[in-house]
Amino acid sequence: MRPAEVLVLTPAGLYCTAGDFYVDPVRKVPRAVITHGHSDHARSGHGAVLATAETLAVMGERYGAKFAGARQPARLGETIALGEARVTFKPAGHVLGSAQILVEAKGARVVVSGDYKRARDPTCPPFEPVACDIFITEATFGLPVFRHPPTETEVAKLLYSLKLFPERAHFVGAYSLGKAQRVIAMLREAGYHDPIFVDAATRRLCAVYAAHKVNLGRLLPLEDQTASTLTGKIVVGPSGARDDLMADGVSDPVTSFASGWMRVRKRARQAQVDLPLIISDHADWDELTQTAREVAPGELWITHGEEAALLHWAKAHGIAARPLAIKGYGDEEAVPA
Amino acid sequence: MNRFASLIDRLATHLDPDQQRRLLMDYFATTPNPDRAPAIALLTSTLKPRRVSLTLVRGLAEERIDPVLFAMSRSYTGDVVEAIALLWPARRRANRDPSLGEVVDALATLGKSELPKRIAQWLDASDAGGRWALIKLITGTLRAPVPLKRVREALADIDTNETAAPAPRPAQAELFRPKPARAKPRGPKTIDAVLMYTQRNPRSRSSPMTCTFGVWSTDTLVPVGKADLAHDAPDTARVAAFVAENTIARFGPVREVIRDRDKGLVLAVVFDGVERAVRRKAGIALRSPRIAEWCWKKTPRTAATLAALERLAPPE
Repeated sequence: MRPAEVLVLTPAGLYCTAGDFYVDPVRKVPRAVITHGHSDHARSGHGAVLATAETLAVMGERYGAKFAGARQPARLGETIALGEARVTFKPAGHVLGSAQILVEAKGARVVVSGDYKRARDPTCPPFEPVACDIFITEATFGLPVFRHPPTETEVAKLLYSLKLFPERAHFVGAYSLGKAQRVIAMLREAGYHDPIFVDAATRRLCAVYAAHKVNLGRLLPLEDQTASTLTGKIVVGPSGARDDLMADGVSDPVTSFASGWMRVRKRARQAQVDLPLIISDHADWDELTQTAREVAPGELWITHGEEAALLHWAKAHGIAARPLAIKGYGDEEAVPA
Repeated sequence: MNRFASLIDRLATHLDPDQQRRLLMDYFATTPNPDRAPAIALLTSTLKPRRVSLTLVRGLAEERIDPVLFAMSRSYTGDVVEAIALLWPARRRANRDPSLGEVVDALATLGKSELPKRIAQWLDASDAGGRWALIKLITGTLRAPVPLKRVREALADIDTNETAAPAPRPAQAELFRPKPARAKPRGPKTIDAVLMYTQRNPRSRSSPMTCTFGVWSTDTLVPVGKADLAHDAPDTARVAAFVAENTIARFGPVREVIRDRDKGLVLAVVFDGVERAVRRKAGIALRSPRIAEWCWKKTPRTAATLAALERLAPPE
């Protein structure tokens, strides 16, 4: 079998004929293998889902216990036979439970990376390069303007602001799965041990992290607080959680937003926040090119994001590459409207 | 340079006057000379360093950056200075980043032939924010991000701090001032304006359209500013549809839209202040205008007047 025939692009997503399953399908399908719990990759209503235990727990938390007809947990490193294909889960370093899926069929090896990053993240194991014929990479930040600074320096900016404006609550806008927990974990690493206030949805996902031994320190509910208890405290949650903050009587928080897009001035201005923080769970330009070099696939398939620049780079570096237009994957780091 | 740059960056996003004053105080209090004096001079627009042409800086960048990636990045950011600042390849073994004093001195003393090499060394040693501020500074395009008054306030507050202990907290200081005499906070303001022209930005994917808006001067609308429509703003598609249906004239990429007293599109614009601008038709310009919301139910006749904005401008 030619490597390019292992996975074919259909309207529902990438389909493996040899194993009769889809990877991260965007429509309801009988059998789905899921890379991670973000809602554009992990949808509810499939017949059967194969994913890491962590990803299954995240999906259960978001969609309720009946999110799929049947579910099967896979361990990182474990190989499972599906029809005439074999799938192996390898860490992707994106969020809790995130995995790359290695699909092997008749001697050909294809890796679907899902979303990934190479920067350190205390909440999940690091990305592991896997040798393969075809590597399917994301390209959310596939332009060389996107180079995320060390997350530690961004967290230090937040702590500096807290020191300078100790009478203000600090609201950090962060996507409720992955980003919020990483920001909290890195604040703890930086020596911040005060309680952190989180909205209900984020708190439920933090509980999933805690159940999988990721220590996030003391978290308190954001609802039903008073302005005085939030003075000089950090609040983490998606942008909508600002309403909870207003309900608590906090009208003038220092506002912050954590996203890789904050690297570009125009984007940072559009977010209309006091303190843009460049923190991302997606690979930046250097990580994308480093990964393509390390994996050294026979062919690089580039999906969701800025494909053109990465295609150009790959060509210039002698790596065969082509864009893969999968519809339906969003970007959880986008500036909320 | 990196520290000064991060101050400039923070001042550009922290719009609250009290937060700006305290950011300045902290910078001045922790920055000794030879950086402090030129920082104050730059922030009060009293220092005009020798200008280096942007062409020179661009030439240095083109020696180091893949032309295709450079062009893509320029189109994405919509700004060549930012593209250079973000793309310039960092050098691991570069020196520490140059101090502000060092940059200002060197600009004044170095010969024309020595400058390019020195500028490249500075860019090598700075971070992305530092590179942006450095290029803006040496090309004479760095604008003070705060009003002069704010810098004076911060300096005055530091002097008080240095002589009197314990340091007065801002909240405490306010207690001593009689309430009616308390200055009105100069935070961002909002007005209703009327959409006049739009220009598509095919090369910038972070904002698809620039909107020119105006206010009433007796019976005519005069333009008072431009703002970018955010790519991911909620009403972007609806605005584009309005423009498509209501274009009354085209000038290249610019479209003029219908706007009489009863028909037209009203938008709420947030801005940080009003400046005198003799070369503009309105005689004033808004400082950092941005679109707050589109008011689909309002008619243009309810929009603001030029007279109201003139009252916010500094005396002539």
